Formats: sequence, C-alpha cells, structure tokens
Amino acid sequence: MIQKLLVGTDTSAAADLAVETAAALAGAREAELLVLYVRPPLDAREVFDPGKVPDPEAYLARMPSRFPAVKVRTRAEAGDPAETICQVADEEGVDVIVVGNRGTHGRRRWFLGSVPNAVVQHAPCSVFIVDTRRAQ
Amino acid sequence: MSAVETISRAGRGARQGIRAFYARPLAWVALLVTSASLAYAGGGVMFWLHAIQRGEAGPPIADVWHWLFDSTLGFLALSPALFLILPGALAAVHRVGVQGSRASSAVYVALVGVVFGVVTGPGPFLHDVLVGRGTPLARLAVAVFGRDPAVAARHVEAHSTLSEMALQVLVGTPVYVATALLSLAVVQGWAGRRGSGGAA
Repeated sequence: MIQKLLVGTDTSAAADLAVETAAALAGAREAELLVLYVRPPLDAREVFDPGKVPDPEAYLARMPSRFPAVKVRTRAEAGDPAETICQVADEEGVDVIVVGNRGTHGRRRWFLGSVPNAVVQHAPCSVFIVDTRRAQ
Repeated sequence: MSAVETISRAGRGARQGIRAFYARPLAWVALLVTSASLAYAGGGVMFWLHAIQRGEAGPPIADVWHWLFDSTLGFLALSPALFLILPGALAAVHRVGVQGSRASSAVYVALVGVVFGVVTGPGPFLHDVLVGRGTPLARLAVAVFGRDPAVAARHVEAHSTLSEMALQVLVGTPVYVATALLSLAVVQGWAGRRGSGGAA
C-alpha cells in the first residue's frame, strides 16, 4: 500500500519529469506527494552564471496549483542530495522515493557519482527511477 | 565528538562540496579557463618579472619558448591545486555570508587570486631546482626549442631564493587576482552566450 511518495528535485527540466511522474503515481493511488528540493553544498552557477541559480521557493510554491488533484507538500533542505533524500524519506516515513535517472550512466557517473544510484543504495524504502533522458 | 570524528566529518563535507561543485560542466570550463589564464597570462607577467627584469637563470632558449615552457609546466602542476581552490573559494564565500552576486564574485576572485599567489610562492625555488640552467629539464628544453645565443649571453643575476619567493607572492598576488577576474568574465560570458542559444 503506497500512502506517501517523495520526489527529489533540483528544479531542472529532467527532475521536473520525475516530479510529473510522481504526481501521476500519487494521483492514481490517492497518496500524499512530498516534493523535496535539496540545495547542493556548492553550486558553480552562483559565481559563473548567477542568473541560472534556481529559485526553489517559487518552484515549490507552484506545486499545489500544478497538481490540484494530488495532496502535495513541499520541503527545501540543504545538503548532499542523495543523503538528504534518504534522510527525509526516513524521517517522513515515505513508502516510495521517486528520482530521475540523470547521471546513472556514462561519464557523469564515473566522474561525479550518481544521485539515483546512491539513493537506491541507501534508501529506507522502495525507489522508483524515472527515465528523464528526453529532458537531459 | 572526537577529533577523528571531526576530521572525518570535515573530510566528508569537503568531498561532497567538491562533488557538488563539479556536478556542472560549467565548473570544469571554469577550471580550464582559470587554470590556463593564471598559467599563461598571469604566468607571462611573472615570467617577464623573473626572467627579463630580474635576470634569473633559466634554460638559454628564446624568451617566448621559455615563457611557454614554464607556463605549461605551471599549468600542469597547478591545475590540481586549482581543482581544490575554486570550490574552496566558493565555500569560503558561503562561510563569510556574502550577499549578492557581485559581492560574491568579488570575494571569490580575491580568494582565488590570493590563495593562488601563496601557492605559487615556492615557484622560484622549484623553478631553479627543476628547470634552472644546467638541470636535465633545462637541457631537454634546449634540445627541443634550440639554444638562443642572445639569451645565453645575457647576464644572470644572483638573488636569494627567499627574496624571489617573497617577490613572487607580493607581485604575483595582485596579478593573479586580476587574472582570476579576467577568467571569471570569460566564463560568465561563455555561460551567458550558451544560455541565450549561442554556439557554445
């Protein structure tokens, strides 16, 4: 029985696909959806491309109006994305974590590690991986 | 919390910060541009100071090759240090609590330049040991680039290593701050063009 889903997002287009999928899953099961934005410890855009630094407050504030049929809650936390997603999932007692598959393959995985891979390894519950390649 | 736990936590935090910083291709572009600018442009100014103005010993090759040789060695040797300095400077900006993108950029540039200036402090000593006249690397440079008689005949001035290192830090720091500012402008320009649909 799935009563609560958590979806992790960095507000990118790829992560937004995962949010849409999570909302569809939550809607179909009448489950609660928790949208979690994790601010990374360091974001190179802050100095090199300040105009592109995400505005998580505005992004999260739009969630209820984007998915009116779903019971949506939002949270913003700072820290390592994978670690924070698993920690919040544990804290909130979620049944399923939803994440995009960005960084699960190719060079990025070898150089940087992968948030979804780390979530799969450390999650306290089931994990649903969304194919977000069309938005990457 | 024990000292071991504190160190372990700090190490884990640093690893996470570095990984988050380099999670964006923009950071790798910044590393490449900053490293090349500091080594070749900043290094060019310091080459002029040490080799031309102060007449320090180096391989008797044409000045342009000497600059290219020293700067390339600097680029290779100092890029790993810059790999840590760039995210470290941004982390320090966070820690200081600077608000606003202009102020953050200014503090970031100043930190990168100052830390790089200090890191290159032992440069004159290492230069003399590794590529000073008569060393194997200097002989290799002469074999590759050819001997320049005018440079070989140039009077070599003897300076104390300590004074050269002090000069490197004192003159190098403002030079590297200016060069870091230049590289920030280049990276921001590149990011802006990419954002507006340019070829980059």
